[in-house]
Amino acid sequence: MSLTSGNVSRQQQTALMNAAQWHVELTDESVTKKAREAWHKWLVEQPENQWAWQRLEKLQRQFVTLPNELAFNSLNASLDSASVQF
Amino acid sequence: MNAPLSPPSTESLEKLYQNNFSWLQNWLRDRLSCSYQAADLAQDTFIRLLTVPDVNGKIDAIREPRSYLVTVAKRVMIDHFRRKTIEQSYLQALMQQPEQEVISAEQSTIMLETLYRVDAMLNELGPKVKSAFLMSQLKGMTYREIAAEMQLSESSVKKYMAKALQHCLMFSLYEQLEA
Repeated sequence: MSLTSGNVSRQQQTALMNAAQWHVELTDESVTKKAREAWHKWLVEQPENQWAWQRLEKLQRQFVTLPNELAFNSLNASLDSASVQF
Repeated sequence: MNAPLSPPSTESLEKLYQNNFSWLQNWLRDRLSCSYQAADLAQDTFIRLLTVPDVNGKIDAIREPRSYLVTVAKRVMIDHFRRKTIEQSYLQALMQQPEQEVISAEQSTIMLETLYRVDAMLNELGPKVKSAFLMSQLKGMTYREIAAEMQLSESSVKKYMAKALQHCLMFSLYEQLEA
């Protein structure tokens, strides 16, 4: 499933949207065993889902490499400057 | 980091550059009150135009090339100030680090590049969504803790998180496609 055509299929888009939802569910501290099983079922359902989950893990790795406090302060500061007007 | 700059034909862009570079530089100088910075950002504006798909076709179709230039220049300025803000707060935070955690110049450069990228990615999210996302991703706060901090319901926080993640996933996908 390559993306060389420059197009992302509708299934891939849907899979990405679902992957994000699942991530939020699974990282909730009150996540249930049932939810985990449902996620796994979703994951093996179609290759697009596995692809989307890999994309999500790749995204997560980006944040892991950042030193937390330093990055938080820097990125939060830019939040305030986002409203600069000319 | 940027895509290769090799558009097939740059005729209209060249003309635009010749006729308007000095004008744009003046326009920027009036707003920045620094002629070096104005020259740099005028240059950056044209460099950015090189990355626009079919830029010559677009320029040909535009009635007011200067107002188009100003639009692009404003975006370049905003990005420039965002980067500066990040750089400054990064340096400030760095100075407060305990000495044993000294970060090399090379590490700093890599980290700043990552911060710029992440900032660009989060840029289009609303401030609340962005805050919730940063608290979760970088501070490792639980949804309940974020909800308490932001005075929101936990389900709102989860909605924000999903929205932010979805946006980041699409952003990094298109960024990869353009590269």
